[in-house]
Amino acid sequence: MPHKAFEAMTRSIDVANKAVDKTADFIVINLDAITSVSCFIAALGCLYLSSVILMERTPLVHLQRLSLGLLSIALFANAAYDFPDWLLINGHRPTGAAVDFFLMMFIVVSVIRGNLMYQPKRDDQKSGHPV
Amino acid sequence: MVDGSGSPWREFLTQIGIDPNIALAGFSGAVVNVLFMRAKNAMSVTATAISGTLIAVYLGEPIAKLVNFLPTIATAFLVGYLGVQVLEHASSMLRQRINSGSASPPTPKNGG
Repeated sequence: MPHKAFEAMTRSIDVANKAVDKTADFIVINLDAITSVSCFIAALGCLYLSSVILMERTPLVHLQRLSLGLLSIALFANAAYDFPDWLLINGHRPTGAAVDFFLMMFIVVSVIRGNLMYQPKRDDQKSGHPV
Repeated sequence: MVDGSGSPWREFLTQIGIDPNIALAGFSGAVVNVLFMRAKNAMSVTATAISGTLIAVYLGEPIAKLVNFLPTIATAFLVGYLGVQVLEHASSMLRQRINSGSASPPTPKNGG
C-alpha cells in the first residue's frame, strides 16, 4: 500500500513537472545569459548615474560616485564571471557578494549624504521664522 | 570555473574571445575614464564604457605581448583607460590631415 502511494505521488510530481517544463526549461537554459545581460545593463546604468546625474558639487558626492563606480565594476564582474562550483550561501557567487557589499556601501553613503543635505526645517520658537 | 565549459552562454562568450579577467580589467579602466571625462551624456558614457572594454578585450593581450613590460591584466586596464582617448586623438588627427589635404590651395596674389 505504501508502495502504491509512493508511485502515485511521484507520478503526480512528474505530471506537474511536465506542465511547467517548457517555461522552466527556457529560464534554466538561459538563466546565465539573462543574469549576465541584466547585470551588464545595470553596470552601465550605475555608470550613467555616477557620471551624469551626480554632477552637483555637494558634500560626499564624490564618495557616492566612487561607490557607484565600484558597484558598476562589481556588477560587470558578476556578468562576466561564472563559478558553478563555488557557491557561498544558497547560490550566491563571490561576485554577487561584492555586488551586495557595494550596494550596501552606496545606500549607506546616500543615506548619510541625504541626511546632511536635506535637513527638515524647524520653526524657531522665539522669532517665528523658519531656521 | 571560467573555461567556458558550463552553459551555452559561456561557450558563446568563449567563442567570441571574451576573457573575463581582461574584460573586467578593461571595464575598470573604462569606468575610471568615464568618471574623469568632461563631455557627459548618456550616449558618450555608454559608448566609452563599451568601446573601452572591447578595445581592452581585443587589443589588451597583443599590446601586452608587444610591450612585454607589464602583465596582461595591467595592460588591459591601461588600454581600457587610454584606448578611447588614443582612438579619438588619432581620428581627429586623421580628420585634420584629410581636411587640410582636400582644402583648396591658396590663390596667388597680384603680380603673378
